[in-house]
Amino acid sequence: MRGFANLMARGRDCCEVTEDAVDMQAGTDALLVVRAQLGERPALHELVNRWHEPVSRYVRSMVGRSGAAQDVSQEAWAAALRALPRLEQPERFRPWLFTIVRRAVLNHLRDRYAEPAAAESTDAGSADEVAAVLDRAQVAEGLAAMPAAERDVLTLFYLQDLALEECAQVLAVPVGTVKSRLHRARRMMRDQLVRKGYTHD
Amino acid sequence: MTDHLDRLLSGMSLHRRIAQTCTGLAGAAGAAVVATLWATEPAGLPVRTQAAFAVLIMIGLGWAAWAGWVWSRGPVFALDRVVAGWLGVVACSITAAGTVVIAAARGKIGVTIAGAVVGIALIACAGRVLTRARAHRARLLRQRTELEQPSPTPEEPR
Repeated sequence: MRGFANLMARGRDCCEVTEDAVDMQAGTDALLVVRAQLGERPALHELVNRWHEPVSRYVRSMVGRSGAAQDVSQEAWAAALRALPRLEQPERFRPWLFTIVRRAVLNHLRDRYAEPAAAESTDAGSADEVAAVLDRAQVAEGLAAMPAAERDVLTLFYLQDLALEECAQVLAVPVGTVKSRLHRARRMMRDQLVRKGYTHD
Repeated sequence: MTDHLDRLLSGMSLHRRIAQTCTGLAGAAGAAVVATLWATEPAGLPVRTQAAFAVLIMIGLGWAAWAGWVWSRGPVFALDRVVAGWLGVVACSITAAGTVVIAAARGKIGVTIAGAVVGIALIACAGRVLTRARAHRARLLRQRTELEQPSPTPEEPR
């Protein structure tokens, strides 16, 4: 069994990339955003296609693999597309999008915490589905048991590859707070995984 | 992509937007013309005719309100704004001309002047909306051109 350090490193590395590649991705997004703002529907479709899966993944990690995750994703996309023509900095599309998605997630969680019985049944259903990739499944397992704030920052930083500054923008907190939350979240995740039998190696 | 997203995106197509805009403008223009006809009737109209005119005006305004509601709910892209701006200018011009011609033909000077003043104001508003929409689109086109140009590779230090 791979150790926790390995897991987290791979979580950050597996779909990630050099700074140049991130810049190139931001440039591609910026061009797609401007074309979409101009009214080019193919560009709008391409933009949604590019970000549909990352958004779904983030929402699933926050609300569980239930039908609710799909509803939250749809709500987030509707809000994002409505606001897209007003986005003034196209190169900041990624943190802007995740700010909107996070708002939709928080709205959902607020509603769900107001109905504890419904929330329990939703979570029970999600435990049966196992992620296809082992590393992601292990991280997702650890994430599910974490408090929302720590789960949020781990998901954005490790699974969505947002930079510290972008995480800070999405979470609306200073970069220092992101770092301290990440530190705390990593410790909690490590403790959880160690309790479940994963080793440190 | 999910079916819902597909539906969401198809609801934003340009031809749908044009259809919605035309519906709203036609409703508003129809309501204005019927109101002018009603206001310039030389003799008092029967109650049933007045009721019919009122219903027609309400229907026209209802379509205009519906179009406004649809526009407020979805994203408004630059091209949509320009197309809607042109449609607005054309619709305002036709409506203003029709209103003035009807009022003048019936010899109602007051209604003619009022129609002309309101018509010119509406055309000016529509023209301003169109100008701003075109400026916004031009800015985005410049931005697109800049983004499409390959970024220069940094020179290696000697």
